[in-house]
Amino acid sequence: MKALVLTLVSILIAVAVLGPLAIGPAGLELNLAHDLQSGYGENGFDVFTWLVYGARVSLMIACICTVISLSVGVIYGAISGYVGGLVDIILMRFVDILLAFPGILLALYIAAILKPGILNLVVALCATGWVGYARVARSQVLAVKNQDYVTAALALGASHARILGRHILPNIWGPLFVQASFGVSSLILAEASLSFLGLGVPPGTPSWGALLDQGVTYLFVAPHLVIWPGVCIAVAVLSFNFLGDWLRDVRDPV
Amino acid sequence: MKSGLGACLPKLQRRQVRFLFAAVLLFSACQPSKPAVQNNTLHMIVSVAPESLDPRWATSQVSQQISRLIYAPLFIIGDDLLPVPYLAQEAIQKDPVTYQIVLRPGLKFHNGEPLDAKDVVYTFKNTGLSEIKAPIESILARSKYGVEFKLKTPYAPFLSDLAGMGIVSQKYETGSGPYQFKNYNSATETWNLEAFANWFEGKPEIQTIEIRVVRDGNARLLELIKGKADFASGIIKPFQLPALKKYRDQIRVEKTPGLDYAYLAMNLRKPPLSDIRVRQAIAMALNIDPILEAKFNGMASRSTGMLPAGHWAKDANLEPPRYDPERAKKLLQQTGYKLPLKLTLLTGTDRFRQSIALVYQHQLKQVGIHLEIRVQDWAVIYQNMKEGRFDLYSAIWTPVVEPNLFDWVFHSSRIPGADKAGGNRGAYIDPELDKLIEKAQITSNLENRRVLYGQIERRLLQTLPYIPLWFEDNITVTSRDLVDFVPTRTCSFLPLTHARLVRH
Repeated sequence: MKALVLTLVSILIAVAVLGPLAIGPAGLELNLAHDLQSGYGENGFDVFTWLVYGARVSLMIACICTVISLSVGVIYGAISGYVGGLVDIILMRFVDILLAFPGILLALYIAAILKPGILNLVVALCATGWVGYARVARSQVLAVKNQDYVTAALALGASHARILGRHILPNIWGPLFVQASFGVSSLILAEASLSFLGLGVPPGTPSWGALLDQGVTYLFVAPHLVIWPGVCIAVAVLSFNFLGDWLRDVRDPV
Repeated sequence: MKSGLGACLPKLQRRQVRFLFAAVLLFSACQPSKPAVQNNTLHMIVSVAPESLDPRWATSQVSQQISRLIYAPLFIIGDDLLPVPYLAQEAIQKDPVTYQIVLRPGLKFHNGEPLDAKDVVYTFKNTGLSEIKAPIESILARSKYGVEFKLKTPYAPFLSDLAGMGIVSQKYETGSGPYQFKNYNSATETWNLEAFANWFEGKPEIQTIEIRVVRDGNARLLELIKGKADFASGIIKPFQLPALKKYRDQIRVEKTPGLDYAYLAMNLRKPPLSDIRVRQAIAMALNIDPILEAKFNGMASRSTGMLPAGHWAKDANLEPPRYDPERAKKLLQQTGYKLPLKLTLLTGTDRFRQSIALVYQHQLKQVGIHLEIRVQDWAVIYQNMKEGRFDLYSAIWTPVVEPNLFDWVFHSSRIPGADKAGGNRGAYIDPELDKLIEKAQITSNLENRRVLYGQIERRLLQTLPYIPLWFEDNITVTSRDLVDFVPTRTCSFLPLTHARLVRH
């Protein structure tokens, strides 16, 4: 399991980071003579090059969104859990309101209002992405904040910021990392879904979802435009789900 | 801790699974299976639902096509794009503003009532539609079969305008066309039309026409391949045709030169597009022929203006803007604008059109124009067009039959505003062209009109408020069971009246 997970994830990351450097952007150039030929897509770009560059876009968006969501969610949830009382109730009700929306729907709504673009896509995905982390972070803080070592730190006169930062946060990272790796895979899907619907990356930007969108239009004449991005999305999502499973097993062998 | 994770895990996985299968479901989206095709029923598919079958409210192309089958007009448009008498027997122009229309005797509405002059008067008095742009002063029933139209000013395209309106019964609101409305099933979005026994050309051979809405392009292909549909007009795209190659013994593909004019419109209200040199540079930077070859498989022809080739008013000697990126570059440098010039192109959500917009973007980049493509819903684009909020947009005029359309699109009095409608969305103002348009409107000699429209098109090629692109061929895909169907340039469904079904 460990070997499989690490191989898959490192291959993905290597393709996303090094792939575009290795093959260069020549294949993304428009070449009408190759329009929809085998191995080529709409306007004659090379499908393989598109997929490699698409990996970068997909993983970059997924990672950036995960980092932002995780940071915002952890700070928010930790404060809520640590302070407790009325503050906790108010902060968590707001989270509940956001959770009441199906995440992808709210992202769709935001993406539709903003112009298509990578930055706006990140905003749309982060807008709902952080609430899950806030919930987990809060419950973790609640679990550890009455532990003896926290009480001891308090008795020694440590400030609240220090207790949160030095004593509580290091002890609640585990489950958050597990969730983050599942988060990456769901963000890859969300990015693909929005791009598939034409609300993600701007037209012409290499992205798996955008390629899938093309493929649907040309399904009967160029089926390779559906098959390959589909395979890529499936493999990427599966890899990060495996990573999450593996991290959970490592943390909690029972 | 466990519960927190447990609660979110199934949710994530469910969503992922849903997405993975959503694609599969999309592709296999077909209609529920039906019993085997009946013998004398033509199964027609359309891509959007007609919003109305009543000729007074039918505005979209598909509504008008179907509406004509039920409500026959006085004239129809022939393949030379001139009006041909249909319910009318003849039209006599008594003086420049008076037309006497004589109806065929013995016409009947679907309910058996006779059709006579008072129904024609009723129909035209009842329309508030832009369809009839003629400046009608009065309409009078002179005799049982004679109707007199008096116009305020001479208006040459008058008879073509009459082709735009089916005749409605004054008493019962029914039509008199070759087919009558039978029923509509809202669950399956299906309309059934039945042959009209008293049709003046004789009862049509095809007893029933079943019209069904199939919105997805791939589903439409499947319907044709599986033999569930016999007839699809204008909704199968050139790039889809290779998929039908294998089924040639079962499916026939027919092409007629189209009337849908594709163009790039520019907003002349503000710089840089108010500068003619920038517009010329754009026209010279676009290389259209490879687009027609690669994207339309050659099933489109280069245009030199709004009038299609073969149109009676077309000047065949006009040349489209020549592809010359070097000159385009020089022209742009002469203008003194800072390069790259930033412009925005509005385009609809259609994937295929977007891909063509990307080709423009690529070609304009070579000469120093950065074209941003903004994809918008058609309703939003339309609003922006009307309010003049755009740099460029790509769109299609459909179909271009009557050359008086120039008035609507380029006359300076047709700039849309808060209180008036008009098609001059780029705010093109040219007193010389206005004069030519006005003159053509009141000239009734066909040869003189032809010369005037030639001058109009030449002027438009010099001043370039639009960049003319192409005319797309009409593609009609039919089952081989349908025989004697002759497609027209106007994509009319009326030739179905003379067709037969021979089921194998």
